Amino acid sequence: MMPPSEMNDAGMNGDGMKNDLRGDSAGGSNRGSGRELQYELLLSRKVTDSEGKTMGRLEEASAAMVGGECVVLDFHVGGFSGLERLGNVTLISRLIRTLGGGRFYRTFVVPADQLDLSDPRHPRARRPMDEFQTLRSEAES
Amino acid sequence: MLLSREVLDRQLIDRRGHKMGRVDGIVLELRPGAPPRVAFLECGGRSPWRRLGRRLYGWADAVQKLLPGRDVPTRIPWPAVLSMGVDIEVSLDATRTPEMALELWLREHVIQHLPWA
Repeated sequence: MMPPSEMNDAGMNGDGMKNDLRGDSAGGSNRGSGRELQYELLLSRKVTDSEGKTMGRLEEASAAMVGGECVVLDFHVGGFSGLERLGNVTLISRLIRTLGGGRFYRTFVVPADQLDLSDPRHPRARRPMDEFQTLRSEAES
Repeated sequence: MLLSREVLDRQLIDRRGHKMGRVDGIVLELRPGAPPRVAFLECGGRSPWRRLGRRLYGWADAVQKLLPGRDVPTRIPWPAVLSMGVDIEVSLDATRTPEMALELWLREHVIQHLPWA
């Protein structure tokens, strides 16, 4: 991709830029080398593990800058996806985790390469859920 | 960086400091043998309605088609993102994106002809 400095005035001005910036409104499409996927449509989708057991719903994705690209590292899958999306509920979620001893509020951390998104409506982990770390166990380690 | 909490629904600011809508969508590029990467941020058009279900999206779709330049979302390539915080600053000029097409159309065809404008 073009660096931001070039993008300002070089290829992005005028009508050409307007056309470049007009997105395809379809949920997924094939453009460039990879397949495109709308992240926001993945949220709250039920995620199953390799054995078909329900792990929870897709709540969050963590990303980091790697080599100038924003790369998704892992997805968070848990039972309180609605709660997770509200920014200021850390206290509530910690309370639920503490009271429930992790039974009610478990958020699995699924590495990006371990989540099969070939069918975006039915995301599927490539391993059994017990093999994934949870946010709680991450904090303990 | 958490995509839902720190990117989605954040205010977009263009290079002149003008607001240009909120992040309504994030386009991931799935690559064979590599982790997905964020390819575009989307704002405006029909993208916010997509999250509210198929029926509402269909209605919004019909209405949006009647409005000039509002039928498709504006796509902002990830490299155009300059900084992220409470707002997300991008290196684009909002007036040159489809996001502002309706506002500019209204200014040219309606506001300009008002006697007190």
